[in-house]
Amino acid sequence: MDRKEKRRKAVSPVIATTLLVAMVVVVGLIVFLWFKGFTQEAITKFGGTNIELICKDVEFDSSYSGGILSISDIGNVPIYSFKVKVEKPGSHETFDIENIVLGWPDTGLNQGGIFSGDISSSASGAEKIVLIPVLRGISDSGARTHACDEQYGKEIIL
Amino acid sequence: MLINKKKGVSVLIGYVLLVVFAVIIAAIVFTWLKSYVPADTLKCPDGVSVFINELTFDNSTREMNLSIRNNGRFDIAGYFIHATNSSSQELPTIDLSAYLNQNYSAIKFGNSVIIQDNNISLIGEGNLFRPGDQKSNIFDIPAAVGQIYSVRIIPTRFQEEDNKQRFASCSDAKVQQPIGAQYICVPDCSGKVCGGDGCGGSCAPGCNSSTEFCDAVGQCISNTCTPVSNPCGTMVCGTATNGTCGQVSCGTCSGGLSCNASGQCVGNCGNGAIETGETCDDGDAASGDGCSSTCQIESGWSCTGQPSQCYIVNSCPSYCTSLSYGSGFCTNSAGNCQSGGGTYESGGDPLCIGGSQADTCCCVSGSGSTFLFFDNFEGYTNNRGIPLYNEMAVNGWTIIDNTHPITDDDVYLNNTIQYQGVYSVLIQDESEIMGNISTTGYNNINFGYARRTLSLEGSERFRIYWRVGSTGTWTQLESTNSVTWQQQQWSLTGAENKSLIQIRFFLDGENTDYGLADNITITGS
Repeated sequence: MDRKEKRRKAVSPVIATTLLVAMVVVVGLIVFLWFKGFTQEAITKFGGTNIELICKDVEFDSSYSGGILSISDIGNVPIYSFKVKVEKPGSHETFDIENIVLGWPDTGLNQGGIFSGDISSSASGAEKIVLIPVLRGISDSGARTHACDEQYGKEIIL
Repeated sequence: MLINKKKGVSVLIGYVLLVVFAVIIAAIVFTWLKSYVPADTLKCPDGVSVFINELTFDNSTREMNLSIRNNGRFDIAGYFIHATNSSSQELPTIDLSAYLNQNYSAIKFGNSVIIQDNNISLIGEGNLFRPGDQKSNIFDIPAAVGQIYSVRIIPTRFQEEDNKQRFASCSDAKVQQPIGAQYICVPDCSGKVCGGDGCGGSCAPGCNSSTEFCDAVGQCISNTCTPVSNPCGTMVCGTATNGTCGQVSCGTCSGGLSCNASGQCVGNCGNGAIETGETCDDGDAASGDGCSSTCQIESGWSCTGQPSQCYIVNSCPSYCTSLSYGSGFCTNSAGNCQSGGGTYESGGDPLCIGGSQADTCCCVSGSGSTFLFFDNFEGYTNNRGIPLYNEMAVNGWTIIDNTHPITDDDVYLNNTIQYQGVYSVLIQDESEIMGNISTTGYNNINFGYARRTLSLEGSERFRIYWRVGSTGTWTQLESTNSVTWQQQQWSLTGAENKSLIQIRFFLDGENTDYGLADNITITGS
């Protein structure tokens, strides 16, 4: 009987406690580093607000006529660039605005800024153009751009 | 014994572990999610509103005139202004801020226009276009821009956010209007009980059509009233009393003219165009600058052009009946200065400009002196801002804006604090003006001016210097923080017969500190 009880004995409470503490620390460290990886990706603007939240404050007017795309930043958020989604029958293609038009300002459109440019070659045959704002913010690794969700873009029906 | 064997870690250690674990998890979650906490958005208040009163564009002069009114409940700073050049252009893409005729009422700020108050204000001091205010701004549109079809205005405000001054675009309050559109019709039945409201509607309650009629000012008059013959007389506009039959209309003015109290169509004094009843129009309604508040050429001045440019003529004002003009000032037959009342004076108002008749007919200390340099800051044609620089250069001035060399907005004319006349020159924020004068052929060089300061603190001073040539050491004549106007007169020993002497007014203070000078003279004999 005594021998049986002796066999069932596990590690000592001291060792168990040490192991538990070590495991908590290790698991905590792993979880922290794992999530820290996520947080590094966060891009912020205007003093720490996540750039995804800033996207809803972007305000701009746009028009397309005779191949000329015109954009005016009427809000308070500088727009660094645009993704231009050109939808044609059965297909769509997305361009960075600076790659399809001449003269896009290096710093983007600031408050009250306006821009006009010819995108007729890229928009030829298109049924619809969607302008998706791209903002520039700060992350731990430096300045980074962020393309807003398409819901914050503007459609121009041709 | 059995219970003792089941014991794990102690309760205390368990709690500590739990707390540590909870703190770590909370820190991770907070770090991860903190950027998702919504912050206050920079946004203008809902009550911001502007109203375009008038928008005109003269294709021949390439001048666009914009008259706007703050129609809202909040102060605003200015506006973004964009234009289209055809009716088919949906979105305005021409930035007109670059073409603003900068003056006292508006200056360019980035790609926007900032409205100033008419006196001594600065960018960043706040939102100076207040509810109910109305401003007219001129834009000189280059020919390369082509025609202007419509203009869009987006108001802007300086707003405090997180203890920072931020510049906000009030896009919800944007307005767009075609060129030529003037005055949106607002029904007006004030004081009327009948007749039209000016917008095609009728004013209630109206008259009993069988016993009354409605007169020209919207009052019901009994049909049994007694009229007079020719109630208007020589009036061509406005209303006149027709016996007991109320008011009759004598006509309306066309062509932009307005009806005066005598029922005559006259020009709109201050719009820069010489119209019926005007002999000049310099674009303002101020007297003392050659063109009076009723747009008549003032005595001692000659005005030409539209907007009128007014010059001091070589004659004494008409009320100086005993004096004649000579050597730059008005003297009596003995060559001395004399007041209108006949008393000799030894100082006073150069060239008899500004001031009252009692002190205006005297010119300079001592007889036989000649003005080598004179500026009372009244004769500039566009004397409300940046164009001043070119004009002042013609008059021998060099302006040095030490802190804002790009916008050059620290030296300008001021029409609220002046020694005499309408304007003085205002210097602020470590800036200065420097006059360049030749004294060749003259001795007994005297330097006179009136000066005062405003808001100087501590060791801040308004400093006045002179020197021979353009590179020598400056001699400081005085450094003052006096807040009252004082006329100063200095004899410049060593300044005789020099091809160049320079005088300098330097404001040794910050951007809310002001030095003002007026009636600056250099004389010699």
